[in-house]
Amino acid sequence: MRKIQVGSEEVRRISELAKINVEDEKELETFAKQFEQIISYFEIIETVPEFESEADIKNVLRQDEIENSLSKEEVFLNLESGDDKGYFKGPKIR
Amino acid sequence: MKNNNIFITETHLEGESGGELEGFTVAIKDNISTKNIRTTCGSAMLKNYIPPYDATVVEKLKSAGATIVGKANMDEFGMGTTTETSYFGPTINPYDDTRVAGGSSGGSAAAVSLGKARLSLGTDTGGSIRCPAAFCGVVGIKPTYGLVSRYGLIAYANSLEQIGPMARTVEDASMLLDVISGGDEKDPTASKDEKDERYVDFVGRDVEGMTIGVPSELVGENVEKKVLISFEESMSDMESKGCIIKEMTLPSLEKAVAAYYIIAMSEASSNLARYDGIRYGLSGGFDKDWNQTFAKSREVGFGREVKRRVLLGTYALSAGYHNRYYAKAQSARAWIRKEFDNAFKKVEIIASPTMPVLPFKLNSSENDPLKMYLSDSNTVPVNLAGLPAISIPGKGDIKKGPVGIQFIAPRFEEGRLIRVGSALETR
Repeated sequence: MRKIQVGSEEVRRISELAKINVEDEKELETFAKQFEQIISYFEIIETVPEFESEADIKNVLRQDEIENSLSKEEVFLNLESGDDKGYFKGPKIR
Repeated sequence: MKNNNIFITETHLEGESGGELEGFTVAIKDNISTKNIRTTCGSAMLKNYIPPYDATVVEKLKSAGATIVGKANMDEFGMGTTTETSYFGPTINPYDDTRVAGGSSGGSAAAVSLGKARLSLGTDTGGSIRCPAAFCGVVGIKPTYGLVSRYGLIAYANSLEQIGPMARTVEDASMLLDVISGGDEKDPTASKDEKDERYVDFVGRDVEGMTIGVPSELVGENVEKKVLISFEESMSDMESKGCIIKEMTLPSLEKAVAAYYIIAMSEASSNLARYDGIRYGLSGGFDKDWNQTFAKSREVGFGREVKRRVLLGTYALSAGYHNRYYAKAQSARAWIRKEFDNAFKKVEIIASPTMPVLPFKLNSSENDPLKMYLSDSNTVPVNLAGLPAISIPGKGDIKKGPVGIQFIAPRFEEGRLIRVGSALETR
């Protein structure tokens, strides 16, 4: 099995893609070490033969008709910023 | 840590009168939406989140007359095997207060084990019902993919997870399965096929002549001795009740843990992108730009295991790695499915220890995530193949360490699981 190398810089790059801040150097190093172990283990699937999956489940669809949905009050119930005149409040776009 | 830290939120909500579950108390795992009752997923991200609607299974429980007594503790977003990744602290094992209750549905399992609720709902993405059922000495059923609606279940890995019943007896778990199963217009993956018999009617039915296969891959070197002894006693017991035990091999199962984690982490990295701190969840503030506030809310709101899985999923799906990991994992999944299908031409049921180990000591897992993932070896194949499985307490003295026995059946053959499960449970 191949040993995969993962460094702190790689973890930092992934954390930017995933949009999760990881700033602490020690945490980056710990993640890097664990990721090396885990991803190296994942290499055991290298030898899996090609298999096509046969879908034996089907989508159950319904008619596209207008039905009752949540009220505006309910939708805004969980805003941390409070109900800002019926709009979601987001950060500035620069 | 009072009451083993079973509930994140306690409540008392009586259902309609006259239903088949009238007078039954139910605990609900805290990733299943309950209208006007806080639903946290065991995460700081959602510690104040109050769903404006009920999950379909909760609606069904209410109209069946069940009384909801609380929202049960769980590993954060279902990511864990111990309930220690919960923002609200670990659930303690009912038999040994130095050990974990298992996970991720640890609160649901401990609730029925200690009689805090007669029934509970858990969810199972890679063993999250069966593992804590085994560790807490109770019964847990992971239904066939599509048997139970997932509408209102807060998603972790959609293609793998199912809601399922937990209880102290197979009969109670079957009654709950009768109530929650069935098609749902709000979940296009929920099967509409009508069953012609109630699950509870399969309890106590004869198992004479039933063939049970035991794959060598699931009783290998990683199985602890005490677990193996209980498993062997349990299989002898089934033999004495007329079952025929056959050894078999399913080589694809050696790849299951890797395939499972690649797929689950990939789906998680996409699913958890909804937590941006804008519409609900912990806010990252509004002073900086989108990328910064988004990343801030997730830095503060997610615990370490969730970060680990989202990051690894992002890695597995990123340019250059997709074919090497995700596509290979899907091939492994198809292979595992095929091997199970072929196996069920030779035997009616497949059996194994649910967990290869006894409950872990508290605080023993955080530093070695891979070791923890490997302990899911016997449960994850079932989710990859979309099959139903049940965990039943094994033979032997439960006080010396609870062991679960897992039975696996072909898709939509829950009745068969209930037959063998209730046979093993008969002392």
